Amino acid sequence: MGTVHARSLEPLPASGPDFGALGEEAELVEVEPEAKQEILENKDVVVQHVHFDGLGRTRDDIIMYEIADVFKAKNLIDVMRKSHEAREKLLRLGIFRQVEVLIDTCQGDDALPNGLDVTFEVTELRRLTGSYNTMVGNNEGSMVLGLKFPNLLGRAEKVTFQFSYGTKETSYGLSFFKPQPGNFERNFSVNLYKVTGQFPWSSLRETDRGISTEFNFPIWKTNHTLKWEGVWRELGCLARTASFSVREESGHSLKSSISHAMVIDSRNSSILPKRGALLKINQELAGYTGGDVSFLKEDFEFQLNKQLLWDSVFSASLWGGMLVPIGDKPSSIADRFYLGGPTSVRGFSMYSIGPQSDGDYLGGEAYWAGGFGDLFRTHFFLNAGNLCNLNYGDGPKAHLQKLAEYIRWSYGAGIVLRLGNIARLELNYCFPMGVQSGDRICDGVQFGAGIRFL
Amino acid sequence: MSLVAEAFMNQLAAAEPWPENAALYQQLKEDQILLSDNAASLAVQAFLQMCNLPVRVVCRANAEYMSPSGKVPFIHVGNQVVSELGPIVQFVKAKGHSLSDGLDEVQKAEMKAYMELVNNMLLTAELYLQWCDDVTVEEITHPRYGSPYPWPLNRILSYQKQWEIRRKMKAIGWAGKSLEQVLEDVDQCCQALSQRLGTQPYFFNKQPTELDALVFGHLFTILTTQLITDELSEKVKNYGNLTAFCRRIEQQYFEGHDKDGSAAASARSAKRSLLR
Repeated sequence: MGTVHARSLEPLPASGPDFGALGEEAELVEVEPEAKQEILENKDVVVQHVHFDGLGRTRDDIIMYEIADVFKAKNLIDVMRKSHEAREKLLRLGIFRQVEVLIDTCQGDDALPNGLDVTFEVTELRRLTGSYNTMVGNNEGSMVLGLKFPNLLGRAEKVTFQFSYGTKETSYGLSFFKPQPGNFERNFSVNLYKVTGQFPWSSLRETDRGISTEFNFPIWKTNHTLKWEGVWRELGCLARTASFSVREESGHSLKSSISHAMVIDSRNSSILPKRGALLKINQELAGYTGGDVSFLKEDFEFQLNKQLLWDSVFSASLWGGMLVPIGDKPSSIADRFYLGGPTSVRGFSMYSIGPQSDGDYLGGEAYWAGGFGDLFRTHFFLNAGNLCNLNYGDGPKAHLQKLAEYIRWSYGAGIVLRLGNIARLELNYCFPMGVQSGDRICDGVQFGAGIRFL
Repeated sequence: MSLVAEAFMNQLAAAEPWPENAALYQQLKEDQILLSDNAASLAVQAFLQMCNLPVRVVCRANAEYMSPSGKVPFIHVGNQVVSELGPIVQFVKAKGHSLSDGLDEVQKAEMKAYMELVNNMLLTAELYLQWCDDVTVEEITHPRYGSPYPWPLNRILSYQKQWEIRRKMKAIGWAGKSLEQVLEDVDQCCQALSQRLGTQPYFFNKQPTELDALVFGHLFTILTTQLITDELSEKVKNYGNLTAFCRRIEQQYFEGHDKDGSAAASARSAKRSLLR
């Protein structure tokens, strides 16, 4: 070759296109039969232009970040792959209904022989969209109606109003979401909500009206969330026959807390994982930013999945948590932990392990639960756990001792069904053991639906 | 619970004797309780004293929300929770204690009529003064009602209660009344009570009844609670036999008891702490 080719430059983001070294081109023009394949795979290309069709209110700068990588592609397969990734990123922003990618050779005066044009044809979402879904939580289902203003100001901000009517809770809320341009994983949102829940295992009714702001950001492989939340909680008895301990908790309280959560998830699926591990650690500190509830709460969840022979999976989980009230006010029933049910320690009724009064379960300040299971559409499981209140005057040895006595455990087998990617249904035959007086069991057949199982 | 089951439970409860640890719940004495609630609580305490049934007074900031009917006071006896004077009188009667057994039908009807008078006139006037008179609301009611709660919950709860009471006043036609008219109504009510009492020691001559407890609760609280002005207590002081009646009941049933729940101590401390 020996000639110098002028390259054209578009106005580019910080990382511009790569210039292929002249030397490489010299090698590549071959005329063999396998050259065709080589041309496709190894031919050096330069992405000269990236066009966007269909942008309306979306701002240019956030688009630039998502497609920056396309310019870095060196050969055709790379261009196709990077364009596909860019398309995924653009769809993830939640502002386009549809994104089509067209790769073509460059035409026009400044076209290079190996220049390519990539065109993204996008259709923006309307300014106001509505949605109707059903959601499955842990042993509860709900119907959700939503009204969304996607891409409000052009940079993928989103305002959503949602109304949810479910078997346990009814709620509505307004939320504002804004990602950082170029870094969708980093975002912050502000939520206003009102949730009304009914909990028959404690004969308790709870209405929460609150406001929360949260920041999400990834650090290396982990995902972190920092949240401030202010909630006005109103507790009441669900029936006239509620026990006096629950009646004493009725009334209003204000919780203002900051919390931090960290999640590392390497599982291939969260519903029925075949491999990978999950670690979630959550802490919450209430009382130092106002309100009249003051505590420190720690909570962790660990799960490990390993594939064994014959397409079966061995899964082990460990959960635990502790609530330490700060000051001399005792903890509120709305903050304590609950244990038991088809999605945690199977064989026991929903949230029916631990301290109770006249059949109303009051929750406990410390708990642990562990499970082993073998999953293959039919599964075997072994669960154990304990929930109690700790006497914080004693040392950690005494705490461990208290958590270790009166262990409830259960074993059994059943069938597992996956509901798409949304939820898991289980039908088990359980043998609860280690039952303490006051626990409510569900021995025999137990059905559970949910997203988070022990 | 179905009505039948509830009736059955009440029958079972009636068979049990009055326990030692019966408790009466009201709001915090020093900082929170308002005039009308204090009057109601005092009436129940007087009634139980007259029946010779021991009860200890427990003060909780969330007493109003703990109560099954939303009103204080309520008593916790064994497994049962009963609120307000009317149901408490019924409950105590089921256990075999009653103050109005000796009355004939005509007198019982009269007693009911006078109790309705107190509830419709005196209690409503107290509520009007607390929640509809702007000066009292601003200086006494709002600070006291929200005192156990942090900001902004204290403002939210007291405004919520104010709207509720004002709606009720509108429904019964008191919203249009001025303070003078309300005080006139109080005067008329006191006049009726004074005439009925006459020179007798109690409303039905020798023995106190629940009417005496109710009247004592309201009048004593009005006399000993310091508000913005003394107009309300002046209206009651106009009738000498009513003030003598209050003093008599106080001396007979509340003094000489060492319990914290003595009416005199509780009312006097309410009086001191109402000075703002």
